[in-house]
Amino acid sequence: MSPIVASIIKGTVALLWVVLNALFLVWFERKVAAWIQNRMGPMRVGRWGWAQTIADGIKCLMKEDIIPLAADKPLFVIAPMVSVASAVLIWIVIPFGPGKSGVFSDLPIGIIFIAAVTSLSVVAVFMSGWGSNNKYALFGAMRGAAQMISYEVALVMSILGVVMLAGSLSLQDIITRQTEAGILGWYLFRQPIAFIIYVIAALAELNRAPFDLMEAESELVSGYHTEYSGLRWLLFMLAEYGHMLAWSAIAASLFMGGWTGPGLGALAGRIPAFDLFNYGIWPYLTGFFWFAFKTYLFIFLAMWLRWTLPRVRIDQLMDLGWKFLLPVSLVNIAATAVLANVWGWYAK
Amino acid sequence: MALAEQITAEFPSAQVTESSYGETLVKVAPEDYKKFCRYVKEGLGFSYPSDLTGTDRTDCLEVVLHLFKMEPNGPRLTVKVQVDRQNPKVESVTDLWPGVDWHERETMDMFGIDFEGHPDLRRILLPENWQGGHPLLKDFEDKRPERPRLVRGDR
Amino acid sequence: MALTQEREITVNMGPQHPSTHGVLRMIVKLDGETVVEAKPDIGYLHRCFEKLAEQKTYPQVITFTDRTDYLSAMTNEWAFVLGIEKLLGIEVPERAEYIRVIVAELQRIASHLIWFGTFSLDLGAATPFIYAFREREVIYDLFESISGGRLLYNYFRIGGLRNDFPPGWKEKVLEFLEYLEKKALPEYHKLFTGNRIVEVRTQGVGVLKPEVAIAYGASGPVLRGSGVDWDLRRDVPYGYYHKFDWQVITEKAGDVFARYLVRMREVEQSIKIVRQALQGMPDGEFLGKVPKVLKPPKDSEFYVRHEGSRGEVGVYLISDGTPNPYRCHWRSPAFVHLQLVEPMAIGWKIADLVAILGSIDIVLGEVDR
Repeated sequence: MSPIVASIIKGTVALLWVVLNALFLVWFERKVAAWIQNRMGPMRVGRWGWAQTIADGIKCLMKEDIIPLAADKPLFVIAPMVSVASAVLIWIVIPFGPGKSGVFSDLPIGIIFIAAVTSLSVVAVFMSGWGSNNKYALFGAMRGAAQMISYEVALVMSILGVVMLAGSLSLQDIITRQTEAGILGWYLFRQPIAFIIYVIAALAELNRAPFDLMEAESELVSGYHTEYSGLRWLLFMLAEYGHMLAWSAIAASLFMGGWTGPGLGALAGRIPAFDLFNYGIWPYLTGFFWFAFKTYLFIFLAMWLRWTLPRVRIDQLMDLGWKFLLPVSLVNIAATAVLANVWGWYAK
Repeated sequence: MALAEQITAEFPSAQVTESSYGETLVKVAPEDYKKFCRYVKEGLGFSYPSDLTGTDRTDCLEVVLHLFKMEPNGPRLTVKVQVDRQNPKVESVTDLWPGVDWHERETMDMFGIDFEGHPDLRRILLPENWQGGHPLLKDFEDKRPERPRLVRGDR
Repeated sequence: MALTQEREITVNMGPQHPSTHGVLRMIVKLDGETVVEAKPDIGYLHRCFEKLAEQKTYPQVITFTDRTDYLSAMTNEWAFVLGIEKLLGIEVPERAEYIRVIVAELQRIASHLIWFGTFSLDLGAATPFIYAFREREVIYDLFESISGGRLLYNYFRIGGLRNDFPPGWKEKVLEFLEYLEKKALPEYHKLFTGNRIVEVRTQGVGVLKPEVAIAYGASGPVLRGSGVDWDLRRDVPYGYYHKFDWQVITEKAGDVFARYLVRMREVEQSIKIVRQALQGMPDGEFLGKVPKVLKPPKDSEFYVRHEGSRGEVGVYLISDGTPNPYRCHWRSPAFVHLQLVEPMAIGWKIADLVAILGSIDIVLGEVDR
């Protein structure tokens, strides 16, 4: 199989994975919101409304394609695609299971790749905001650019602590390093400050409430995608949920051991028959299960926060990012460096 | 000293009546209106501008100002000023009570009374390009073309 | 997109915008995100209340008063009915007075609950909105069972009320009050009041000084939020409020948070009033002796001051001796409060403008009439 064909297949699978998850996530978010708000959520389309997102998607596809007359057409059209592209590309380096076959491409610079690719979404937001030629969209884009750039700094700084402990930029390496010391080896316990900063900054990066300033409904109607409808709007939604999925997966990989977990193969030491589960497709199945489970834990956390908290103001958001999260993450890096050299167990 | 006596002592030309519902009604001449309002606010302490509106008395237009003090069961003062129907003009009191700003705009909108010295006298409830006159006047006529009334069954 | 050298950008918020509470249009000038100028443009919901009232007889006008402030219809009806009763000198039976207090206070609770919901939505929290509507729904069910209407009731009559309670209504009200006080309100406070984000978004924002509030004619929770101890129910008494033990709530700060607290604590006071009224309610008639045709004396006039849910509702009635009012003017609190938005919002961010607009609790039906 030539590398080009392989890349195309990998890309398609990644895209399919994002789309299927986004379909589920929209339904899941509506159910979570309904549960928090004492409602039923979608109930009409299929049992428990499982097909609601599909119906909504079809509706969006059927809609008239509207491009405002005053819009900058190329920018307006490309923006949603760029947004989706960045959400899909992240998945190239995220491991679903053990070894080389558990990940699309185990880049040795995985973390840097993620930071680079997610920056694309800022570009998409700004393209859409500027291209729409709408004041609300422009405000949303301005906010988005300011917010995403400043929180990306804190985000990467918080990851740096993890990278220092793991001694590698590859996600697969970081996961295997964590499992060496059992569940206490999870960087969630060794890097608690980095973990908290990561969660806050990732929420801001995703522009989820309480940091959903660039699509703040009560001020900016719906921010940068005010002028979008139909398919293009659908693409923005897809990108939003794709990003949420990706950032949750990264959180699971960096802080909670990713695909590793107490699989049945771990019992092999006690019951020899279970050794079976360490071979063939089985480790991949359990790996995938634990990966998805941990990812969805983070997604649920994000939804829970969104439906509970009000929105912060733009200046408060910037203050939090630059005056609090960044200094704390820098201190965290310094502390990690010192601890890793002084305390042997910590660096193990 | 009762409110009515105080007012007549200061403004002999003002007609003061006590209504049977406990309100003190004062009719002042248009030229005294602003001076009277200043006296009422600064001298008598009517600090709360509850309402300003107009009435069409068919022979003249009337601006009605309801003023109160911030004290329990305080006096109820109604200031009225009658202006000419052809050329309705009265001084604005927005500098005394900033809250009557929009009330004056509404009165202008509905009765066509010109409040001189008002900072921003534009139509407020009706659209700015409204040409149909001032609707609360008793001789107001709706000049818009009549729209056919559609009832189910007689399309 | 044309590039200009202007520093400010003019944004047209409304008439269709998620946070204008109806059809309000704000023309906002922004320097970056900071509000430089905010001019409200109203009139999109003008329904000629005053002109219509001149064409109808007094009892017919009551239905229009429902529609001015459609979130607080009961208190509006009371304000209008008070004026005619004063002009005609009609005595209202004791039982009717008690029921009036009960429905007006329940309406105040419902109105404040809706306000709580929409205000939280303005701040970006969607869940309290649903919670508030859940409780309001119960009140509307209660109103439906006494008047037949859910939003617009036409329940007040000149000289009394249209009908008495249905059987079992009193117990339902008491049960609801118990639930509201013990379960719903603590839940709101847990979810919203102590929230750090709510605090930084509202405390110190949009401060209204008491002397400014009085000079502008502010009233109700807006005035009390600025620390002015003033409530028409106590200070210019009407109805049977003097018979009950309750307090006027004030907050010193004058900011958005103070106005929020005043409303939430007023709900508690209203619960107290309704409980006492239900307990002390005598048996008897619910409609007094009223002539068939209502003709107030010629050239009589009266200005009613009534504490509605949003503040001072004023009804100015002039009679010319016919069954129709010669002039009927409606002074609405929200109309006055909307003037305060610009002085309060200048220098704050656009997100604060939305919070300030939410905190004064406007209903556009009442602003435009």
